[in-house]
Amino acid sequence: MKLKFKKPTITERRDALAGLAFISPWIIGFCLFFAFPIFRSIQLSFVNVLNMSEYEIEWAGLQHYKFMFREDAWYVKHFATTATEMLAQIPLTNVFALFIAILLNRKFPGRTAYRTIFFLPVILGSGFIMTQLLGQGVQGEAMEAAQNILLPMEVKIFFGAEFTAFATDFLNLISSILWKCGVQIIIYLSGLQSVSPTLYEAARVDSATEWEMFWLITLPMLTPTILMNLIYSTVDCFINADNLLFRHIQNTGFALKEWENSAAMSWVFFLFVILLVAIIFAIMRPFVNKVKD
Amino acid sequence: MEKKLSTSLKNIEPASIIFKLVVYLLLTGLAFVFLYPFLSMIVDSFKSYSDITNNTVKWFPRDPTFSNYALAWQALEVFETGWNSLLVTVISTVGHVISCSLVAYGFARFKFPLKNVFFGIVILSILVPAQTIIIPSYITWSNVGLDTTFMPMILPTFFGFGLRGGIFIFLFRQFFLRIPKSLEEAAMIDGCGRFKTFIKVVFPSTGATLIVCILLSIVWHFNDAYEPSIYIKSADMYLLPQMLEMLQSMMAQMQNDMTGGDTMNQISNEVQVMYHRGVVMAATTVCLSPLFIVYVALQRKFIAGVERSGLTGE
Repeated sequence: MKLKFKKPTITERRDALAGLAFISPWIIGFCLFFAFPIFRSIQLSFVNVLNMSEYEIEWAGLQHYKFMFREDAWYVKHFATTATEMLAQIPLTNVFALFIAILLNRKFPGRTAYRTIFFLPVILGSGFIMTQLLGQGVQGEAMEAAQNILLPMEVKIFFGAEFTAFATDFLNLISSILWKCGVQIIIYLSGLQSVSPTLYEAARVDSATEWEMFWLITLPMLTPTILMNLIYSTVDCFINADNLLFRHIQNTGFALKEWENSAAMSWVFFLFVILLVAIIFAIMRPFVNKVKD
Repeated sequence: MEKKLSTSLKNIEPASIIFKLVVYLLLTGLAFVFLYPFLSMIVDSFKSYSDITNNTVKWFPRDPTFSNYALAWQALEVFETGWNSLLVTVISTVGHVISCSLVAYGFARFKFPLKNVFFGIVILSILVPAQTIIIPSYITWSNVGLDTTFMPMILPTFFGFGLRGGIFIFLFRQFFLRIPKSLEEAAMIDGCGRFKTFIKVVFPSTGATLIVCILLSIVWHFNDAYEPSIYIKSADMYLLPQMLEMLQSMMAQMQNDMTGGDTMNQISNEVQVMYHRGVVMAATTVCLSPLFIVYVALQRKFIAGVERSGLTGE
């Protein structure tokens, strides 16, 4: 803290100027494409717009925030659906991504081919075209095919309908999640590769089993990666444009022309996500610090 | 694990063999789930109408045809829309690479007031989705009179924003933090200025990180349909994903006409026989193929780059 108040030397000042010069495009961009729209968007949520082209506004207070909870029939419902989906998906994507990353991190013949396949969703699956393709019910077919191999008729009959329903739901969930964990797999892989091999060697000398090594070495060493991934998954779920809530928000704005309500709605959901990120951070922080020490 | 296996090859441990087998089985199963949509898409794109409607034909079309592709090519107007898509994608990617690497270098190497605050905002800009600020952005762009051009998609990328620009700043910064300063110092002793050092010494060394950023930027821009759907209104400026969506909604419309309406006329019947699911699949294949080619070309470097790009945070 003390350093901050020391008078900067000429080289320090030059350094600062050069740094600011390098980030100057970003500062311009920040003002034009970030700060201004955000300011306008927050402003919109508190005012009534009388004339859009000249931007005449009058103060409306919390009117638009009340609207979504009291009058809008869909907002709360969609909010609940989207939020539960997020809360279920974030841990599940991470468990799967970690599992696949650990499998891929082993040395075995054909590893490159498998990696290429597992990274495919990152490249092709993140976007709109893939959503369209999956929306054609292709994924359902894939799971049906997989089910018939994993759960032949005899097994289904043997365990009864309840188990079958459960297994079917579970498999469907997996299929929808698998396609979303491409980036997470990559992040976990790079995390796994930064764990020093000497740790494993030492453990092996002490005749630790693979299972013990996972819980006592891999997982603790990965905590920074896990934190990063949890936050990434949260954001990814959030900015995924095809969730119900965003469609509703967009409809309110662009189809119904209720810009003010739409802005208020998106800010409420944004606050929820920020809160979620903060909670994840607070929970994971002690573990991460432990690893760093 | 591998060492253990090779040294103990004479007295093979059955447990370890079974373990390997299980790993292979799991990976193959998961790979199948990943690959299935693509395989199914490609196979379906070669099916004729009679094959599509015949449920017994799954993997081997009885009468494979290329006519789906001809129709899809026409319906998508590939030359026009493809050119638009190419234009937006390439310019935006160039913008991202230039601006994000410069800005990231500023964050990684220099000390200046408010640096941590600014970097916090970079991270925040990743968090704020386009949807949250699309309305004021749209109003602003239309006030400037640029709302029906490609500018809303292209221009922000030259300032470190645009489609997930913050992520690229983050990635480049992680890389710059890790390279030794000695190279830059040597260049500066030789009389290079800061900027020249960056251009001549630092930027050429970005290699794998550059590949990762280029690939992700290409993919995200090529795939994005949200911002174009807001800004681009005239049909001659449509991008490929938009055109694909049009084709699909057209199909759905025809399906409705066929089943729901009592005006089941001859024309729509003929049209439906012509534009079936196979055509949509062919169109999807056409849209995905440039990305697939880019991925195959850059794949090795991409994977290597991701593993070394310091994505883990630290």
